[in-house]
Amino acid sequence: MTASGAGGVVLVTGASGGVGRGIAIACGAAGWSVWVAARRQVEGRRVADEVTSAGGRGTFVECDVAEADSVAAAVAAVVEGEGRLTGAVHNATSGRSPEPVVPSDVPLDHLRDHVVVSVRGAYLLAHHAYPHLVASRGSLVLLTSEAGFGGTMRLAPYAAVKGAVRGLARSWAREWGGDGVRVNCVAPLAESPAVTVAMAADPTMAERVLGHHPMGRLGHPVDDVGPVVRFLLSDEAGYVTGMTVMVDGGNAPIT
Amino acid sequence: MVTEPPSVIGTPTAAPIAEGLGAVLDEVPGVVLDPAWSGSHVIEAWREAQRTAVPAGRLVVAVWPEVVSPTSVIHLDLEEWSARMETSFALWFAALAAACDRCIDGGQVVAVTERPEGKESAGWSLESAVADAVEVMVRSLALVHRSRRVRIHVVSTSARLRGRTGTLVADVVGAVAMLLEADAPGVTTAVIRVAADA
Repeated sequence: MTASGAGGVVLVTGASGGVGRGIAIACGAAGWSVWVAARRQVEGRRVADEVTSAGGRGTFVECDVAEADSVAAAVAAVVEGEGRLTGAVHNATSGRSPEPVVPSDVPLDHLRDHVVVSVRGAYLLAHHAYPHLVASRGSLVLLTSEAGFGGTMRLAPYAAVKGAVRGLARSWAREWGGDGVRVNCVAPLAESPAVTVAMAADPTMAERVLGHHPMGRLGHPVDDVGPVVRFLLSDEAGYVTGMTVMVDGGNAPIT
Repeated sequence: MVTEPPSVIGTPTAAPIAEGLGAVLDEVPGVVLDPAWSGSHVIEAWREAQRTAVPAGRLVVAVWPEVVSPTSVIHLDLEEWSARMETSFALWFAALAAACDRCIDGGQVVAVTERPEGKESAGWSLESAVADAVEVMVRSLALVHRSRRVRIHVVSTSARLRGRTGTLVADVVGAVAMLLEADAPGVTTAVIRVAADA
């Protein structure tokens, strides 16, 4: 199922809820060892238990993706505990992601929060996971969004950092392909606490998001998004790199 | 060539573009952010000053950091990451948002970005990330200012990254002028990639 031929050993950031939780559980359902990386201990440990219940082996590791030492320690904990790392997923986004803003009024410390969680977090995870992914001929998956293509009227910082992540993935795919490391993005449209908050803050959002949606529903983190990320982490996707896979029920007008 | 110069906001490295457009460069702050963004107050102050700047019908934004050699993030420490990627991102975000606010109803803004060629992007991940982010910022801002009929476009070039700057100014100025002069009120978020062969 993985590049190593054995069960996968993956680290998922922002996995204490929402889409990250879905990815963790889906990987657990394949019997993989999943390290649930998050700041929130109680929720993170709960997801780790769910991974184990799903058939895998879940372990919580506290991680602040914006802090270099924290990411380094999380990656080191996986390798020390498992002897290898076959996949890494950067899902964490700023808690400010669903906050509607006027672009010229966004406080710089708010903008920083978007940048350091989404973009710096991707860099730090890549930076520290890379040698282990080379050793396992593994895979890195970065979570982006439909907003990272088309922008949004009210969530400009969120959209911008999601666009940046796509640029990182495309370059890293070209950089690391020769080392056997694949890098892809996934752009989900799924139920999550952030989407719930955003829809509550903007009553028109539900109509904008689902009004023309081919399937008329948001995706399920475990059943719809998780398996696609798992596929990209597995050796079944061994010739797929540099891509952004839309897991949005066909919503984005992008082919 | 445009008949009335646009307002140009950018880094000193973009001065030749301003000159080529017959404009004076309005410089963004020469700040370099550390991981804590302790210098972000400088950007904040510049942004505040922009709120009282003279409105304009046509604005060009070009935040061009100094070009360095292609670098893998594997060899990049956090200080350098913040200095290069996060600084560019923050300056672009502030400058584009300010430019759109300054733009009068029915006016246009053009962002001139530096984007590595797709097949040559290895080692240029920071530049790729900023270029993608700017294109998305442009699309967001086009939605924000749509009700004022403000249109926003992108011109991108890989010339400096490829060391092929022979026709850079003429190529970029031509592309910007084409967008600003066109009688095409229905066209917005156009992305024009300028070749860098010279």
